[in-house]
Amino acid sequence: MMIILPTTVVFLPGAAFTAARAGALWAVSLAAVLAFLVNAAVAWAVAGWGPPRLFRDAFGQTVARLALATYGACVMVALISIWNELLSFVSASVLPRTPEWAVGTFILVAVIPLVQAGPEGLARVSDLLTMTGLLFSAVLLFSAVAFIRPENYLPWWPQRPLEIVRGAVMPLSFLGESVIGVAFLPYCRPTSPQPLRRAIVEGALWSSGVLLATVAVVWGELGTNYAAHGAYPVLEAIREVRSGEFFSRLDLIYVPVWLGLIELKLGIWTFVATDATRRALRLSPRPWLAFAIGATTLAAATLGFPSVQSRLQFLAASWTTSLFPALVLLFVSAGLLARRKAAKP
Amino acid sequence: MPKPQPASGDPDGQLSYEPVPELRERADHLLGRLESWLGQDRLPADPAQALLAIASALGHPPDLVTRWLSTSAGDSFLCYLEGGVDAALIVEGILRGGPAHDLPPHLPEVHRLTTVSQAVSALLHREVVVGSRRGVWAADVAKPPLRSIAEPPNAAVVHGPHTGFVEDLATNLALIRQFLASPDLRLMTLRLGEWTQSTVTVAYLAPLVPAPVLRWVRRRLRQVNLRGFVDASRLAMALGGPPWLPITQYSERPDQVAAALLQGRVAILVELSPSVLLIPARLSDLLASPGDYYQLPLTGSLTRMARYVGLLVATTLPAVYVAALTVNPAFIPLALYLTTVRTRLSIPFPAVVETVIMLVVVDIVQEAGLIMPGALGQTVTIFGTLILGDAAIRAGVVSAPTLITVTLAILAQFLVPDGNLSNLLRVLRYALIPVAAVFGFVGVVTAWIALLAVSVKVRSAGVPYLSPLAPWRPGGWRDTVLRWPSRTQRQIPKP
Repeated sequence: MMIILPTTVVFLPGAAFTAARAGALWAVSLAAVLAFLVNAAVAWAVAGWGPPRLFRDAFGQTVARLALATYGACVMVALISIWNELLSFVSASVLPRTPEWAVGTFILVAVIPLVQAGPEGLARVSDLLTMTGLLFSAVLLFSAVAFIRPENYLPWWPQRPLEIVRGAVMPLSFLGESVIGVAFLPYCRPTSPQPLRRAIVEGALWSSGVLLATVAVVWGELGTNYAAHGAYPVLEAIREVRSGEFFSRLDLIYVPVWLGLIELKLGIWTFVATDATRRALRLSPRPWLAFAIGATTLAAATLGFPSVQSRLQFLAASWTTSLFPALVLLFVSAGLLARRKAAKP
Repeated sequence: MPKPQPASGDPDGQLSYEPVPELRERADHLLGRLESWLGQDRLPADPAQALLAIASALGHPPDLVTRWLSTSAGDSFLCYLEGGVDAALIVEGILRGGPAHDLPPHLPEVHRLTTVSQAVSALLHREVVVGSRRGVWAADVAKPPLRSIAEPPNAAVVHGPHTGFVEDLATNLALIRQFLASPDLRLMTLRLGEWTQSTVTVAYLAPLVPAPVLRWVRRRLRQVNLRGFVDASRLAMALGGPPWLPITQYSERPDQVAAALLQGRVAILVELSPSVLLIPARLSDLLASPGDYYQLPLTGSLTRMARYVGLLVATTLPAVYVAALTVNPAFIPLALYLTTVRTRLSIPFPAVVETVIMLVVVDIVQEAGLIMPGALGQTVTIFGTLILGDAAIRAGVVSAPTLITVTLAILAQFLVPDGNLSNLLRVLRYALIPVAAVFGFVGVVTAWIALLAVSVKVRSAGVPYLSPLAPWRPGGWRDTVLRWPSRTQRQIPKP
């Protein structure tokens, strides 16, 4: 769950400030509470089973394959948004000389070994990058606190309280990513559902905590208007932390970690999409499938969305308002059905 | 039809019309091996015949010393391979102490020989072979040429023991036992190498070593199928693992090996090699040095962190430099960027070419300095680095920032104590530069992610290569990136 950290720290504050302005912190708090409930519900519904077993118990063999295919398709569409997020971030922060498709292809070639590393390898890379990310975040957050101006916290409440709800929608859809986490349950070592459920919810809580702290610091440093101005206010906030002109680009110290984390996220989602597709089509593990899925989604991202604005619109329209609710419904309903069937004598 | 040429080195100078003498030698060898395998190469009862059979099996080598002793009980012979045996012991134990008619001789570790192959093996292992009509015997009179015990120059420490392994297995085992006076130290000896028949000893502390690690070592050693090896490094390669990552650690220090055994690791000692193999070897083990434990935890931790930073600098700094100058100029602060650009105005090469050229030059100088002996090596290094570098900058062929970057990367490489890992960093450094030149900073980060992705799957004797950092083991940081006080440290690699 900690793998949503790059999105949490880099992307979500901007989205929250754009939608809720002075209500960003409250919006994120609301999202954290709702995400906790969603994650707890999904974790309870799946009861320690991964999608293949859960869908089979709930829907039977044939419909289960259909449900798995739907799940894979949803994740594939979401992958387009992750490519969008990655390519936007690359364009905004490091300005590559080569075109996006070339950068994307190179990244895809590097991501395939991640996918091939499997759940265990992904977890290990996640451990390394998350620790590094948290270490860097702690250092930067500590420095950033010194640059907070208390007057920036005014006004402390938005003009229209509805903005809070509007601003909470996107963070909720990201913080509630247990719908991806459950895909790894078949690969977990045999254990009771309780620790798995606890792990999923704990991950979501950690991410929520990091997001809340980040939004609070960005708000105090930049103020709501400035924070809502750009897509990545965190980068602006870090640039505020400077020791003279020499360290004017302190954000660049953090960029490698972010970039690595986003690429890892890409690897995880590609793995999930590949696994779901493979199981739905009853294929044995094949490296080309991951490459095909990655290439297809990369092509859609580079050819279909020429601007950052169009990418954000696609994200809001696809993942936030359609795919995420659909996946939550799919898992919760499958869990309820499976329990009902199990309860029958 | 051409006339067959005489075989070279014919002792009698007569013409030999044997068409392919090499084939005859090969056939004789195979026949000997077959007889040995079937146990059919029994030593003749007649001493003269027995000595002839032994000498023939060895190909009548010039260093085979034979002596005939005539006593009232009959003739007996004595033979050994010159050099590597204790001549005084032969005189005292056989010629004076125990006459040939009183076989077996009064020497330690005497054993009876029944076949030619046994006699040959005994001679090759520096034993003296004594034979008469009553039988043939071998006694250990080995005294191989040894150098004195000294601190290995490639792993010197300021504080701590200043001893190092030598080329003698028994001495090396004694050095380990000096540190580990424990009855639980287990030694498993086997012979490997079809031609060299090298003695290999596996050492471990029975209660501490995890069973899967020991199983892995035993299984891999059983699977080793080498013609022969003259150093532990060949055995390390034969143990398997990815060819691009070192999964065994070399040590020439008995204190380091003893500490590794206390961690539950396995040591493999090879005859005639001062390098001991330590298994499993994780990345954190390869970045640790014995000297870390002989200083304050605070300074030890600082040194450790410097090594991890050194690993990054040695591999990535030239790539980041190239990326900053070619793709992402915004990376470096404006003042530094302007200074760098100003110094590069007269340089004819692009940054990527300039950096690669400098890296190659420095590597050439480094290799030349290593190969040249002593003072000459130092001269080559000084000439190569100081004079050549200064002349290159003055001539406007390379810029000072490039030279500084390359030198920093090379210096950082020497922070890594393991030689194999240090050389691997050199390869990675070259590999990252073209990626950085094309894709810039994104390329460097992405290449590292790919490298991590393949590294996390690697295991050394079943232990994850990047543990205890990945997979994360709570408390594992105490003796990896940091060097926590040993009072609270307990580290046994878990498969």
